[in-house]
Amino acid sequence: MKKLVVLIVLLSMSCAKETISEMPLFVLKDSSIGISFENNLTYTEAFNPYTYRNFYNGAGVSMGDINNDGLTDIYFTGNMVDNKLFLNEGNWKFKDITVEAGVACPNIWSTGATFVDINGDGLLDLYVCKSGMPGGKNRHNELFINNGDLTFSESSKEYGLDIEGLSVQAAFFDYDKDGDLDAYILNNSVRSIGSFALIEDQRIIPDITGSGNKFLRNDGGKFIDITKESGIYSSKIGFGLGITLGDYNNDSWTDIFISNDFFEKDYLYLNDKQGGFTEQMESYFESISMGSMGADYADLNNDLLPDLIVTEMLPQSLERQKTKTVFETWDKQQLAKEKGYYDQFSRNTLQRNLGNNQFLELGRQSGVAATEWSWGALMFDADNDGLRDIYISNGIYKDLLDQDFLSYEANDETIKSRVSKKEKNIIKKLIDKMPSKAISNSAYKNLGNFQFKDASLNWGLNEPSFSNGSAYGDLDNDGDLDLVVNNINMPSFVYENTTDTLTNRSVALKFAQSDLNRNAIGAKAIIKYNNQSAYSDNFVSRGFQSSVPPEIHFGVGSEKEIDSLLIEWPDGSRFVLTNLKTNTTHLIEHPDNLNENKVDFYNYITQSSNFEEIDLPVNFAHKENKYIDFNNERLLTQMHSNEGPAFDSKDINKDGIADLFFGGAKNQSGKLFISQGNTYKEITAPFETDASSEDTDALFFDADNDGDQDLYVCHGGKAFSPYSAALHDSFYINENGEFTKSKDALKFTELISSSVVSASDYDKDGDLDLFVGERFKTNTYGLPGSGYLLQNNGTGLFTIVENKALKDIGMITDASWVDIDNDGWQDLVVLGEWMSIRIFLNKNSELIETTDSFQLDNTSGLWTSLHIVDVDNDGDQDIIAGNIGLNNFYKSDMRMYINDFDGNGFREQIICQKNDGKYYPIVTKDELISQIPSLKKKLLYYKDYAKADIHSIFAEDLIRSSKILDLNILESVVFWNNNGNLDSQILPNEIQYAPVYTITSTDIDDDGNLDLFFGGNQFLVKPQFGKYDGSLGWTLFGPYNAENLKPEIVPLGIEGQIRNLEWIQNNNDNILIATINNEKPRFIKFKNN
Amino acid sequence: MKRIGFVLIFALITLYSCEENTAYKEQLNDPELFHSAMKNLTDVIVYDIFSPPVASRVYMYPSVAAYSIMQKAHPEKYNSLAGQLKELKAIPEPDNENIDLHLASIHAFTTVGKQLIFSEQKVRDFQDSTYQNLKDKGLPKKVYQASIDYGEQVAKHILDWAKGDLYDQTRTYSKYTIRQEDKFWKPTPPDYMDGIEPHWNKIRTVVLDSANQYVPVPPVEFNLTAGSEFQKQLMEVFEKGQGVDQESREIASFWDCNPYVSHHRGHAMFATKKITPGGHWIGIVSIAARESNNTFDETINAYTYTSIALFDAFISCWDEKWRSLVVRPETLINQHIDEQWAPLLQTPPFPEYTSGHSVISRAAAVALTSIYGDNFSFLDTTEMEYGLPARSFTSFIHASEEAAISRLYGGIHYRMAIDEGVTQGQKVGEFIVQNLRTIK
Repeated sequence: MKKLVVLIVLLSMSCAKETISEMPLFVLKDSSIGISFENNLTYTEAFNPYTYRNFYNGAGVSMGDINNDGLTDIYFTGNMVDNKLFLNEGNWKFKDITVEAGVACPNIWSTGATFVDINGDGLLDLYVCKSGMPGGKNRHNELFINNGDLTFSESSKEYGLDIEGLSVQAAFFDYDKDGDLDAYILNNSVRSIGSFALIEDQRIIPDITGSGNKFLRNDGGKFIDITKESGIYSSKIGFGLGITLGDYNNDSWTDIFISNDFFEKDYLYLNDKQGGFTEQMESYFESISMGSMGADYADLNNDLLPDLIVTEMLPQSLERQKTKTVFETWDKQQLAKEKGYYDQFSRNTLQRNLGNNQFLELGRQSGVAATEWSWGALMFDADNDGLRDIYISNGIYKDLLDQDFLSYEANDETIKSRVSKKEKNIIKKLIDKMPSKAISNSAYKNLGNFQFKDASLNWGLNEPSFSNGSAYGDLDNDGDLDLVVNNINMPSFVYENTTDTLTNRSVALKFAQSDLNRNAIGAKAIIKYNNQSAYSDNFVSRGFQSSVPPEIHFGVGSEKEIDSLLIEWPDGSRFVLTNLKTNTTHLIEHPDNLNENKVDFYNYITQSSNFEEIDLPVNFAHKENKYIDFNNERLLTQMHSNEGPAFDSKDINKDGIADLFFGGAKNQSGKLFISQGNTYKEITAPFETDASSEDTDALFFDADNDGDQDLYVCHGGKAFSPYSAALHDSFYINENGEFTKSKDALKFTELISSSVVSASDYDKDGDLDLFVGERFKTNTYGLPGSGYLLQNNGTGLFTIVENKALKDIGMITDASWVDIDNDGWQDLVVLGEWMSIRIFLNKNSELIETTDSFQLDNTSGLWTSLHIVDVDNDGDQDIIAGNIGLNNFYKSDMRMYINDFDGNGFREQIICQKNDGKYYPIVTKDELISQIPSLKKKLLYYKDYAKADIHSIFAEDLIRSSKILDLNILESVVFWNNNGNLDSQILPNEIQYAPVYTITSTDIDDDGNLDLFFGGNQFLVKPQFGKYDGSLGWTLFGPYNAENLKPEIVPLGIEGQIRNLEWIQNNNDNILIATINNEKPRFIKFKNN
Repeated sequence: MKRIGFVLIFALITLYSCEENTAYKEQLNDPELFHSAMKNLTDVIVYDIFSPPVASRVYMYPSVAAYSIMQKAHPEKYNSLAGQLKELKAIPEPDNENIDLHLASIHAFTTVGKQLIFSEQKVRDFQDSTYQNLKDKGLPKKVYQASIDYGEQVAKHILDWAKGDLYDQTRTYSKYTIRQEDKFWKPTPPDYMDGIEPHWNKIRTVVLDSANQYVPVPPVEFNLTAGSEFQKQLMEVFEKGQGVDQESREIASFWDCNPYVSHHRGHAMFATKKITPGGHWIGIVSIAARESNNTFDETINAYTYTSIALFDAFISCWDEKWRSLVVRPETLINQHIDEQWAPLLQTPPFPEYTSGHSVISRAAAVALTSIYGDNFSFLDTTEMEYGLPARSFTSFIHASEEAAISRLYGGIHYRMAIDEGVTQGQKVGEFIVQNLRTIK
């Protein structure tokens, strides 16, 4: 009955190519191919970047086969020059047919262009967006309908697409699955950016002049403006520069991502399947780009979930960052956040799609966060190895943000004298003085697992340029994707991809269906081969102001054949094809009567979680006090005053249900929850007297050997004077279930901000002794704290044992007792920030440091957590140490200098990055000077600061007398204990996405292998370093050992800054408690299946 | 030996011939020399972008240095400042007969100034060209050297004194932590800059006993209910703060004196820099001194007296600003009345109450009146080089009143900050006039 008509047409076979080893992957073609296009711009007194905001945004590239000869043609837009259409005649010969075709769009500022078959006649039409000053003939966007004879007829009015504004790009897709293409028109607001204050909810106010964004539904060939009804914002703060289509929630309906420049946040419009959209960006993304430019959405790790990259403007080198970037201050960013402008950062963002409508931002870890003033991002498999790579075009013809220019050139000083002299062309002369530097575009080879290698140079894409729109397409039908880039004031680049397609093969898919969406824009494809799979979708508007041909390209490595191809058509119907040859272009046709969905498409994609959140009747929400570390220590990268809540649990009343203690932040009392059947009794009385302290760690243990659990609570934090009595730790003794604060149990002679307490009978006298670690000196980050050994006299009274080895060991964050050398004595492991993991062996109750004998003396990190357990089940204890990870701007060879550099009685800490053996401060000039104002004279110009290393800033004797701390390692690590040797192994990539503040373990799936759980994140980070939010909590399912280093890793799905993870026993259930800074705890159960 | 003798003779001849040229003396008595040194300092202050209170400090110390030496030249006419200014000890006596005290005074002025600004080269260039000019006009080397040496000595003395004013220490005191309640000050558009100098009240006053010697009455109670006094004052700013007419717009712009105004055009940005309000009054001093044909010493006296009044007035005003922490009208208007409203002038980055212009202008006017009298009419051309026309005033008080009300027209102050600011400035000015005696 139903007959699938599948026509596979062999359109072309690749031809073999010799690759010369020195030849880069991409070879720049010269003008002999017949393409010459330069987007030349000249500014005048009246028309320039000051009078026209988008003056240097550049133009675009559109690719598509306009005459169905199987050859991809190229259209360039120009801002002040005419657009050009080049017909591909094969064998790298192109012919300029602009004039005959009638698509020059003379005298109007053209921006984005898209080839799309609007009327379903099988011929690609062309839609061109217009921008620039108002007025002029055909200032509106133009729709060129393809006449089939290499000519076009402008028909925008007829179709209702003669939109006029600061148009950037259009995207066409079938949003309502009715068979025709609807349109999103991205318009940049006409309002001047200077006149905006950070006011809430501006995006919901439509721009009544009608120049905002537009969404149009195709009703029988006429486009009807349904912007408002469909829930699309068209306000004056829409500064969109990119439309990135795709399915962001795996429901088969096309969603829209809009990247917005300036202070407005990006939009993620989810298709509500009922003719409209709902904007839900915040529930999908944690950190987004601030001045978002172009974007692309494609699968980078072949988990069949597309990932999102958004470009921004952050320079690559620290030197250029110091001169070219204005970062937000902490206060300004907080204000913006308060007004609803979310967490935006000056850098590219790469959002890994986890499925389940959650994304993690990995731009810094992947090394793609800083690619200069970037426009187009494209993700395509450049070398056909089966993994999509990243290409980013960048460049700004004039450095609008050069800090010296802004401070000393672009000001009244200069302007006023010119005004008073009645000079002409004042603005023009100002712009003349703006620095201009062409820079290399960026290409990153995908190494898998979200690791990338800068390949700009190796691939031959490093020609310094001012590049904007770019597009890929196979121009010579040899099975690899060539690249075309539109440049300002220099010839466009046409790069031939020289991949050896005999060894690195590909498969190309073209689509045909009978409805008006002829090329099946929005079709999805999954291929499967050799235990691998890959996903792609057929959207054409990509990157920046550009579009690619309506086809899909998969690199497949050396594979000769793919096992199966799953297609989901735009109408939602699906089918599967099997055994397709590679190095072939397959034309996939939509069968007439395909109305069943037997092929399951999404079971490959969506991940089901075995973790389920539950509710416990625990009435506690941690409430962090407001304290801004940066207001005192201006040179720090992040705060350290939000490390609570403290937490511990034990079954105090022995009813089989764990009882819980949650510590409070400063000005919040801790609370003890004692189980009573299905509820808890809250106990606060003994803890309320300590409400002014910040609880940083808690430990239940039996101090007086009376068989019940007593409680030790560390008091620390940073929001205290070093002389504050609130820093005293507390010990609460349990007498018959009553906790009372002991007045004389602790005999500290000095006030310390403590962070950790750990118990052990280290002297084997039958009672539990304590180690207490000092976090830092509250007024100077960087100075070392000490460890304290509290010896129990058996009745819960402690004396501090003098031990020089524990003095000034570092900024301690965690510590644990363990018999590491199996001699029956409990040894001590201590770690912290800017310090190595330190081991103190217990020799007959004497703690002796033996860090170096374990070869841990060069393990200085930003350690935040420690968990000691037999991970590999070999009978000895392994050490898991949580570090800051890799998803940040720290480098493993950074150095911190601490000294009173200006002799004013306060010590400063200067963190430096190492370049060519010299150390350069990582803070901005303004920050450094705000902390050490005396430097202003020395560092008058930003360019001077950019080149100044620590030795050129400070006198030698100051550097010599500084305390110097080095970093060696940023990754979270497991140290396998192999017969007393500790062999380090970097934990899997996912664990490195965020700082790890807590680690725990249990065999949760009862498979006999220990499973590990990691939690972390730190949000209080300065804007230029960006908050650390790459973790939703992770489970690492065992076995994990030297033989199996790639265990299954699954997110727990907990948002926020996790500070403790602990499995507790609740009757017969195992429940994971996650305590979260400044939030309620969360409770999670595991369903074993 | 013979050769040395020849050189010696040649040198003597040269020296002799130089002594003939005494044009330099005239120059050193010309008050324009000091005016030009002050103008140089103002230009560098504008270039380097100092906030208004810090700029007042940059004017005061060099002026005191210049005055202290000038006073040695005219002990019969002027009192020493030692003992009159807090913790200032008598400067070293000039102990070399070759010293020209006017030259030493210029050198001390520029040397102290150079220490306090950032772009030292601009001051060095001024010194070099000035000294070269004097040398060209016959300034003997020994006179030059002795004067410069003495100027250095006094500059060091004054800078040592300046070190005790807690300026360096306050640089690294805590930043202001933003408070959420509506009534408290918050950073303002477009740049949302950090609040400037929250600890300026820790700076040592020079004549006032303390920063809080004249605490204004507390601001009108915060209340946004229609009809409340606060709300009425807020509405007045809303209605008048974008300039009701040409006259008020001109007045607001004339007294803008915002050292750094940023303008955004998309990613492109530029800034306009202007003199500070204190700088404007220093400009008025130069006009008054020239109009009165003041001599070199009288000119220094007028500048010094006014700069001291400005310095203490800023401390007094900043003390109140960071005590009452009153929110700027722009913040409230955007939040409660009109999201798009922007004041005529860019709101400067510090709390509203009391108005700095009102306090310091009045204090300066009282000081200037004590020197030049009550009915001193003048044409204020200070802002001409910043593209604004001159305005004429019948007295210093008249000018200070216009400066005060200009802040309402500019949309950045409530009336209370102006009225109470003027009162505060009057008290500061009067105290200084009563307690600081420069002319015998």
